[in-house]
Amino acid sequence: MRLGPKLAWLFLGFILLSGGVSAASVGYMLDRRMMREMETGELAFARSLSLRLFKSVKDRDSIALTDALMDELLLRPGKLEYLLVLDGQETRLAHTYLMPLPERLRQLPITREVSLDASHVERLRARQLDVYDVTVPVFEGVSRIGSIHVGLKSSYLNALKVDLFKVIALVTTGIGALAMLLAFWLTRRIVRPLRQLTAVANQLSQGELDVVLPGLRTGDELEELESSIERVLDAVSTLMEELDAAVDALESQGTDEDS
Amino acid sequence: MPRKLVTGVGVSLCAALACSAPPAPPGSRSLGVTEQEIVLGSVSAQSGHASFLGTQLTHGASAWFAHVNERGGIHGRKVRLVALDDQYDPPRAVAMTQRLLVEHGAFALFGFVGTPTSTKLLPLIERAQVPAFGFFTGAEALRKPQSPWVFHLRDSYYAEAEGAIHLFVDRLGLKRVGIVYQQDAFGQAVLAGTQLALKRRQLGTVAAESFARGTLEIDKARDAVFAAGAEAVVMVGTYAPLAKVVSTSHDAGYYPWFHTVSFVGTEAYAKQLVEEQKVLPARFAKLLVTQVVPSPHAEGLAGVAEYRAIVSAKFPADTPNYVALEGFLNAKVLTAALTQAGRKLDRDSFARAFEQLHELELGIGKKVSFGPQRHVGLEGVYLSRLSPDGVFRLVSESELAP
Repeated sequence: MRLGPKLAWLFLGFILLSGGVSAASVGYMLDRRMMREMETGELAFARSLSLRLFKSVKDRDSIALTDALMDELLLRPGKLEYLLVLDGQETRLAHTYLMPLPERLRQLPITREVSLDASHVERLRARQLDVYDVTVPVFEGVSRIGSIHVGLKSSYLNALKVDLFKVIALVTTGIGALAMLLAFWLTRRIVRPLRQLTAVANQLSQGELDVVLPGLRTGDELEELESSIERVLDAVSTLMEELDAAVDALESQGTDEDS
Repeated sequence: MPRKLVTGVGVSLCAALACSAPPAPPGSRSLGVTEQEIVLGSVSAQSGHASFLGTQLTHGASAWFAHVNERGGIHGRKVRLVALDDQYDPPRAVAMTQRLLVEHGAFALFGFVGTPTSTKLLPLIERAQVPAFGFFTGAEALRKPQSPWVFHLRDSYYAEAEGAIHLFVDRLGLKRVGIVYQQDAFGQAVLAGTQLALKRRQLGTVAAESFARGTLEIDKARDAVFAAGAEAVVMVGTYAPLAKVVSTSHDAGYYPWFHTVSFVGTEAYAKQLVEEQKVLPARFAKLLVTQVVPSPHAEGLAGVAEYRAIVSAKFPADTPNYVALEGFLNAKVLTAALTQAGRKLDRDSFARAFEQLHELELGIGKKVSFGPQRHVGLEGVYLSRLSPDGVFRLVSESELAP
């Protein structure tokens, strides 16, 4: 591979690697942060709901529960998929859906044990459903009389991550493009004089001493290389002149002896 | 913190969600539309102290729908109206609206009564992105900022207040206007409209006093406007306390112009004034109600005559009234929009069809028009005055201010 493509690929690879590592690091940190936020913030929200709605849960007042859940949901636009109140027998008392309940929720298989007394955070994924379900029980004394479910949209949690990834991807692409331009410029700056000097060297190798050097003013190793070639050229020219003079001298000496 | 990560809570959750849920349709935007019918959902006071408004609004609308269904429906589909009762209670209005959408699968919402109930539903309507039409309220909050899903036939309370203030100030030359209002969202809406109308004329209210909703404790408010020497009094509330404001003012020898807005329930207000409070017929001439639809007794208007004929056939016990006429006209506009939307119907195309209704002739002397920037179909108000026969009848400004 020639020097130009080599440089370009090297630059691009480095940039992409940096971008990928940055994205992975940011993703990891955000995941940890969001899980911590959810396990504290959303559980606290669900618990405050369970305390506020205790009376309505106990009275099985679906009207008051629906009204309260709707108010809470509308205060958090885009964040919650659902709020749901179940009674002690897991029968629905109120929820926040405004269309027939999603088929995706109905089709989840019943396969696992459920702990009824503790708070939970679990990711529910099925078809188009992707939420973190935060559940807290509603107690009357030591009796569990119901539960509050807060369905936090994973898309909401992932939105920040997606935004950051977009920024990283954009910046990486921009830097990558700049790197390609830089590689192109460097290639021109390095390879072009090298080619010119290579052409001079090729002429020299064919015995052509009447060559014109490019006259580089780069102030770097390339200019030094040209100076070296120039000195070689001077030395060869001098040698050739001395050789010619010696040949001429030998020829005139031979002529004198013949005469 | 008693936190426990459990894999499986979703199981009971989903089992609970599944119970009693109807099967989800393939296209949720066409929910409530089948080959045979279109399901509309209505939430209004069918019982309780505001039940006259809810039942009459529903009677007017359902009579028209039955009339349309008898003639083959709309593009071959019958219209079915599911009417649930909110008892004029905002939390119940929320729960019933959700029930309409989730359990009854209503395609669109139609027919609501009251400012506190309707304004409470607005965020739900926005969230569900479901077209809603036919609010028996002039609340500005339902009109501005304009929602892409909410449409009205009637004009706003601001327009009603403007109509009254125009008469009092511009035509009658009165400068002293007071207001007595019910302390709730309804009262605040009309109060704001009145203040704005006065401000446009470089005036303000000489007195503005409230009273508690659901009570007859109007003495303080009445005394305030009396003491301020108001020549005209805008009143906001239900018929019973307002009729008491009028009669006790008359008892005290105070005879200003009294005005209230259409939500009062015009027939019930007239009855209260005449039969309960015994207001003298000689004092009827300065008792006004602004209306957003023509009089149900109007002669010479084909749309009103049609209303009387169709509703009396379906509900022979009902007498013609403003509320039922508004419900009837709402239903006519709604069926016109359904017709405009065509056979291929979904919530989005239906909302856009409303905006394409221009110069719709209802036979009421004014044409109805909607547009992308206009979601109120019938602009302007009518003035009605208590006639010597105890009925509020439409009057022109020139009759009131010769």
